[in-house]
Amino acid sequence: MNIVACVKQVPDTEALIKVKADGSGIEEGGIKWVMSPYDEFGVEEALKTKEKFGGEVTIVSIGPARTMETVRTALAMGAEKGIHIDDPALYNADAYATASALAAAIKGIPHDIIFCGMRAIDDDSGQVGSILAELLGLPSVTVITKLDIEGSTAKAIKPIEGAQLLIETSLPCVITAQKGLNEPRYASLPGIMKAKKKPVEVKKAADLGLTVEQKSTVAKMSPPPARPPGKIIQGDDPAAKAAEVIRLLREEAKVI
Amino acid sequence: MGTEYFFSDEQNAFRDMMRRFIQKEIEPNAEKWEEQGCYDKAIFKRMGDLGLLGINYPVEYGGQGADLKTHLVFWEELCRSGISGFAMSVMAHTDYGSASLVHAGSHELKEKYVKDICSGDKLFAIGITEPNHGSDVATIETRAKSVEDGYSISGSKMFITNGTQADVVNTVVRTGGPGVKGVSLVLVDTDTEGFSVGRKLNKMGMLSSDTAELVYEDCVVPKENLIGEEGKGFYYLMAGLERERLSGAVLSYIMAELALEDSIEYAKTRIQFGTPIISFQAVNHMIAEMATEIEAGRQLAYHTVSLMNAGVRCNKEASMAKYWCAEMLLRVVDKAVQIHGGYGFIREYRVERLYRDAKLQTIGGGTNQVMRNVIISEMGLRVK
Ligand SMILES: Cc1cc2nc3c(=O)[nH]c(=O)nc-3n(C[C@H](O)[C@H](O)[C@H](O)COP(=O)(O)OP(=O)(O)OC[C@H]3O[C@@H](n4cnc5c(N)ncnc54)[C@H](O)[C@@H]3O)c2cc1C
Repeated sequence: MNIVACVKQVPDTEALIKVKADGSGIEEGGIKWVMSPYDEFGVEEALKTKEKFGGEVTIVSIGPARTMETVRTALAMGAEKGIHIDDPALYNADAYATASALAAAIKGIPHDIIFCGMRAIDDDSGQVGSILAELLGLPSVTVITKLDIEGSTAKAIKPIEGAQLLIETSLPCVITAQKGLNEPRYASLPGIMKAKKKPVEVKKAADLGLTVEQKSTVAKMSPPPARPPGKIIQGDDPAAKAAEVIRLLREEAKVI
Repeated sequence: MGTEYFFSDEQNAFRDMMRRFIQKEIEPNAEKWEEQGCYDKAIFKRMGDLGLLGINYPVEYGGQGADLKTHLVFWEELCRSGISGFAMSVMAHTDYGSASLVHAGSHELKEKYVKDICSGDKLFAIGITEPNHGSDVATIETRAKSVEDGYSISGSKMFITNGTQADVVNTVVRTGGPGVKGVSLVLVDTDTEGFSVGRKLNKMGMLSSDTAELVYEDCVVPKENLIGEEGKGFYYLMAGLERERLSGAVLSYIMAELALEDSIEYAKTRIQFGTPIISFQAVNHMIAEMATEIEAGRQLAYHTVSLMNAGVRCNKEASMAKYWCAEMLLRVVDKAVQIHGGYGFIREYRVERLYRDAKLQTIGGGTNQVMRNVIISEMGLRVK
């Protein structure tokens, strides 16, 4: 089976994010970069699928030179090869441009099933998987927590509020992974050593016959408002203090 | 951490993997393992499955065949778990107990045991020290008599890490006359008749590691369990000493680094006299000194690694690193507890544990006095 997993490199979940003074993005100095956690579920499912049915896993990622580390991580986990799309026109691209570039790369290789994370934890757009499927003319099943493949049919479980859906679709298709789908493996030491020698093609948009088109741009990034300082209610009479807390919750915080 | 420069991309990637594993599967056990006085043995199998127990052992015997710096990354991240007793127990298995076997064992013996070391199926210990013989290894008394079906071993061993749980003890025995030339190494399966655990010892620190007294009473093991040749045991042990001392230094500077990190965090958030205590020069100068000493210790260890990698003899530097880092650690944990005030004396705070654990570092694996003796010998200044 020819399996593709799309991954994005994002700041470590524990990284301290600072917005640039001009609002054009985040300060990248000193940030540790990792594979977006939902993409890890995608890669793990891709590897499990390969282990079950045989075949190859190809990793596709977009980003600057540092993105290669994340591609190598996926190769160290067990994927066979990678495509790294490194084109300044695609750095910080919107979901449409990102999906177009992924589609252009994936069109050129055999694909029976494509895994994405349900969203990247940096820009939280959650659209790439669906747009990618649309551009490739494939069905997509998003935000899934269980996958079974039988012949050319994929059966996926998607949790919704108060229930879960069992969705069937035909292969090839695009699957986007939600937490709970699996427990991603560690990149093993032999895997890490082998990853260095696995083939990764580095491509520009033009190499894929792609003219980058964005449907939206981020006009400005700003940090969330600073948390207002806590309020300490002074006084000796507990009943009066409690009454004041209730008044503030009702009138200022408007939570009761 | 700023040490990436010293390592390759693959080694840094391995560090990421190790850190994830340690954070997720080791650190949550800290309290439990400290309290029960030992790690859970099953963790060795898990580590074996992940390929972590034979980093620098040959691929042929189930190891990873990786280089020294990769092994250093393993040590560093293992020690960063902050469960120092456990880290020591793992090293007793991956290094101290098994290095001489990998170095000098016959192919058959390695086939039989090294695979199980790497997979975590058999837990190893090293039995050198005896009740009456510590620093003076050459005088050990545990006797291995040649008998028809192998060696019959009688004697006892003291302070043996992994002692209550080990499946195999690499036992230092006397096969010949007095002195180093009568010393040999024999692998003893702990289910052999005549072998028993005398008692589990209660300790000051390193509580997540079991330490035991072992008893051998006419314990008969096959001849094939001899490592290499009779009478060469002492030299086989010596061959692994540079690494062993280096790993001791690593445990010390990493423990110190954890104490520093906790101290910084605490000093930034503890408010006294209306200001975080880190704003007091008396406190932040302690932090500056801790950071400086840790860096110096680490660089002495890294220098030793570079020499080892270049194939240069470095027993002197390894001994320097071991004793200096151990004493540096004692200075650092003392300051760390001081910065924490009363909380530093309380079990909930990690520095309390680091303070208790630290003392072993000037004793185990060769005392600081012995290290100084080695340095003087290596400098050609020993007076006979
Ligand atoms: C928790 C723990 C785990 C251990 N794990 C193991 C293990 O797995 N396997 C194992 O074999 N051993 C182990 N040991 C033993 C350890 O290696 C010894 O304790 C150590 O080598 C010192 O020996 P000793 O305790 O007999 O002290 P001694 O040798 O009796 O030393 C007592 C004091 O005299 C000093 N001294 C001795 N000789 C000299 C000299 N020539 N010049 C100057 N000063 C000297 C020492 O430095 C020390 O201060 C462990 C010990 C502990 C506490």
